[in-house]
Amino acid sequence: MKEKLTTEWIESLPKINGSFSKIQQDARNFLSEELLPQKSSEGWRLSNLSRLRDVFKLPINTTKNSIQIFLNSEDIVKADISNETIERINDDDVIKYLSDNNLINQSSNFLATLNNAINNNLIALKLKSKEIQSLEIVIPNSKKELSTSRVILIVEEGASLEILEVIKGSEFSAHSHLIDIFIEGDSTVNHGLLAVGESSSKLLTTISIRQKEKSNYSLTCFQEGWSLSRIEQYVNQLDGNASTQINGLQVSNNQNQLATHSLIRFDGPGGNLNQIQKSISDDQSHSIFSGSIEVPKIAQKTQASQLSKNLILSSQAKVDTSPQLKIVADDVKCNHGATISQLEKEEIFYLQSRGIDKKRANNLILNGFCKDILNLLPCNLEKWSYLSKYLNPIN
Amino acid sequence: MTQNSAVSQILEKSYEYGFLTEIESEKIPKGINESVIKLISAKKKEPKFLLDFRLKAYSKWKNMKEPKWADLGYPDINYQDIIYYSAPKDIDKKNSLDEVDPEILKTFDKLGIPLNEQKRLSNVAVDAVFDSVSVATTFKEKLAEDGVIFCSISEAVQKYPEIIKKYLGKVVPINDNFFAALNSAVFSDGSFVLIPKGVTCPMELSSYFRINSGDTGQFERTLIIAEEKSSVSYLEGCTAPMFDTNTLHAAVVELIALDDASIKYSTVQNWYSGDKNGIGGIYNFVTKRGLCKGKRSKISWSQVETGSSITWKYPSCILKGDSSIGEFYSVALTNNKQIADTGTKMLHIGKNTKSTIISKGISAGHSKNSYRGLVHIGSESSGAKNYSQCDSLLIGDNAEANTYPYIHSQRMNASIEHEASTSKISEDQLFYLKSRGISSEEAVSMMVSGFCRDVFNKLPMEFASEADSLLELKLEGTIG
Amino acid sequence: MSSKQIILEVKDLVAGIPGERILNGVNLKIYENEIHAIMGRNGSGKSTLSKIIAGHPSYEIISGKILFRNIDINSLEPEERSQKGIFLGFQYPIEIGGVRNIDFLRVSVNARRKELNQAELDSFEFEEWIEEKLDIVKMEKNFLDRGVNEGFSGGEKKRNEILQMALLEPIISILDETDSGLDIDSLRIVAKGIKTLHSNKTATILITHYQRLLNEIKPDYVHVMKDGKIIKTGNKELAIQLEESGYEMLETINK
Repeated sequence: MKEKLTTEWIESLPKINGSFSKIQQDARNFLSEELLPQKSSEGWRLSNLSRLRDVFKLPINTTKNSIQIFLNSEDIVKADISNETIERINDDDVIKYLSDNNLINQSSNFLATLNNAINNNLIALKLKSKEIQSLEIVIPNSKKELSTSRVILIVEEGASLEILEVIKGSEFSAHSHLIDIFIEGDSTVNHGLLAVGESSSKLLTTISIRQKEKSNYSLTCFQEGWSLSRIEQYVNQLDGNASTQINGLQVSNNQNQLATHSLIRFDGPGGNLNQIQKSISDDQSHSIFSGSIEVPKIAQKTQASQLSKNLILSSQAKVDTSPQLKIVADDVKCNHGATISQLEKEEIFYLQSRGIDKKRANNLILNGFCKDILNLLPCNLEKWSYLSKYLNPIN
Repeated sequence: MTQNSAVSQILEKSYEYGFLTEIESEKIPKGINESVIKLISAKKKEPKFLLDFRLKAYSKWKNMKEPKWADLGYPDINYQDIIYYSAPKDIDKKNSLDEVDPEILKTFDKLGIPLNEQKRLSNVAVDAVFDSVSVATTFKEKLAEDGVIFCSISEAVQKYPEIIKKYLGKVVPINDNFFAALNSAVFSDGSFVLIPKGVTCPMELSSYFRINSGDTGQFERTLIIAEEKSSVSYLEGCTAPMFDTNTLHAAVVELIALDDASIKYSTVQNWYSGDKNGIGGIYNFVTKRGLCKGKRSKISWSQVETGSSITWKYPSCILKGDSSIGEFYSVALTNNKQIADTGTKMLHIGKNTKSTIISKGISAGHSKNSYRGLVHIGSESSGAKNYSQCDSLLIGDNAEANTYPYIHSQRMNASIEHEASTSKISEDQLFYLKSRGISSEEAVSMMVSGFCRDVFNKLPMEFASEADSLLELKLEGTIG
Repeated sequence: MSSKQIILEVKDLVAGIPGERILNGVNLKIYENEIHAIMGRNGSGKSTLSKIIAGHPSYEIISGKILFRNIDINSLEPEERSQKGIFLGFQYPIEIGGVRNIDFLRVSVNARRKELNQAELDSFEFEEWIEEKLDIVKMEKNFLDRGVNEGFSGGEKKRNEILQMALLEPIISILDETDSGLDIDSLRIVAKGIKTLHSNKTATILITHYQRLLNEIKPDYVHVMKDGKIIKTGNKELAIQLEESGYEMLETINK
């Protein structure tokens, strides 16, 4: 198992020119020196590493600029988009912004490095408007290829933004996605990620958020149906006094392995966090959650709560959950909780006794379990409801 | 007085068990190798199977690495600089208590564990372990009337070699982990308990461990077997003198409960924790594990951990028998530069197994207090249930409280619930108590006791007050 | 009047929290056997005054004095004030998880008894002694085994406060909005308790918004606070007047 990515593979990656070439080269160097993730490392202990290795057997998709972006339902990639609401950031500014300290470049992060090493599909935008803007980002991918995408957003002071990212897996594909959002003070971002895969598709996603004081950030992730999906969430409240909500739902069946790894760090006082992560595991699937909350000494008066709720629907499904707290400040209120159970027999019986058949009763309860997370997804969800039965509100 | 200064004053009480007993000891040369192990085994006149056990463990240990994963920062231990066997010189004569060195008796007297016939704790049998060896076991004859065997493990090796051979190393295999392997190679003494079928042990059993030498590691080994439909409650207490070097304590405790048997194992650990700057103190790296082998068997761990410079300990239950029950109740108080990394593993294997975890961590000063636990529900363990609650209380803004629960389930009809919280003693609560005439010291101590109440309630009656007085060492003026 | 002993005197008290003045020169004299009511709107400084008298560490005295039986209590810890006989009934009694009510009450009572040179009570004696006191506030015995105020309803918490007052036998009781959040039955129980415990050797301060409690307990004096000062002092009639015409009528007085 102890192996590296081959030099041939790394050399085969499409080279890019310009400002990003250094970042790309650093990432390639890192990959050629470091081992692939090992079972022995805490964050990968539970992952199906042979599936991860299969990702690197796929050819790279070299199509450029295929990310689709809709601002208030209008396709803005082709149009000249620099206006009062939104503008493209030039490469040099992006580099400057990326070189700032953040949680993903502090640690040698495999997913982010992998994305940087390939990095041929990038879009960087700055949002300025005080009116609520709604942004939909549709991430492309293609069959039997490894595709990548990278999105960088800067949300300026006082702006208000809804953003929905849609990633749809296609057969035998793999996708690496990295999004950075820098949220200035007094601004609000409601971020949704909709990731619906096929039983043979794989997804590696990193979400990196930096929040300034008095900002509000809300993230809702829905993942379903991937052979291997791993969403890493990094949220850093740079000076505390901000508000963060993180919600997640993973629905796994067949042989799926879906994972969410989150790290929330408070680097200032008075921040708050509310996190709910749910999972439903059926068939022989495996659901993983590992959440870490870090409250250093500077982060007095932090309030954080983290809850992991898991349902197991089949006798062969597995759930691992590990909600972790690391606290040094003493004037804080933190709590976390986790439950793993099956559907409540009493609840089903109650519905049955009111004339609802068992299957329908199961669905109703599952729907209720999902609904409070799905309702938080921003933007126009109906448009995407064909992707999953869980998104269909009538179900 | 501000809250923090009041609290830290209260916490800075000195360690009152830090005295050293002047006594002639027989020590073997420092270091570990095959001939040292053979020497220990020969001194104890052990049968061959046990020497083989030790040598096998040593050969495993040589190839093992000291674990680093518990993110404990401590200087490397030089295992060749430790004395692996130290005994009071007149050890062979110990047939009657009257013959035990009066200095040792005095030591235990001073520790509140009188061994003399007249002064004995009335309903508690004590096995007193001084450095590497057991010096006295009280109430042996009375226990024998019920068929209960309670003696040092060295004695058990001589008298009941077949039982030892059958059970030793069965719950904690010799290569289980680095420190367990080391213990298996060099363990010096410890306690042995066997409760025969159908017997409810008529009194509390207790071991009291005293490290006296500064350069001696303590490697005791405890084995408790509860046969069908039997039950026992057992308590261990620990103290050590103050030295400015670190002393290694690597114990192994194995419990086995057969059908319908129950074992309650309580620990009040107060090894010397080092001074304010973290100099000296005991490295307490122990492996404690219970096997609920039989149906409806029950193993319950309660611990009050206040001492040691570093504690690294996860008393665990293997719930193999159907409908067996595992429990873990823990209070860990750390201050100054102490580190406690403690928790439990509940491995659900049998059907309808249940486990409960209640952990209370209190961190003060610059200490670091972590809960690390695993709840594992195996694929055959239908109907398994777990409830965990892990609460942390922070005192002062330099203390660290971490919670690392790992939960794994492979069963759809199992249910697992985990709750955790972190809080501090609030200014408002302190003022409320003070406004009712209660001093800061007493108020803090009351609130800490209150915070730990769920766990204290689980301690055996006879030892609840001992636990209380232990906390009093650091939090003077507890209630009740 | 002059033969009466003075219990509490507040002299030109200016105080607040760091960076904010809340009291701007409060003067108050309370003699034994007197019941005083302090009324006023939210934020007028009533609760602050009561907390400062009890020695709350968040507040600082900028100038002025508080004398309890002619002795300056400025430098006393809250527990010392309590032991001497100053009792504050909290507006929001604090919940303290895990600490049994009865243990808390016994430690508190013994601290007071020690001050009075009375023998401390052991847990058996205390249990006997407290039983008769429970009747004053119509509390069930099982209250005593629960955590301090833990999971108590609003009314239970206030009754627990009055129970503490009954146990500690204070010289002066300051009851901060003891009537708020009580239903009519609880209000009667609480009021009756306060009346029972008031004596010709003690004094009581009732801090309240409403006339309601004052219908049950007739105060000798009514003070109205505004902007950290007592702007008017009168008798029971003043409270009735306030109830009828509201605090607006005082705005004019103040100008």
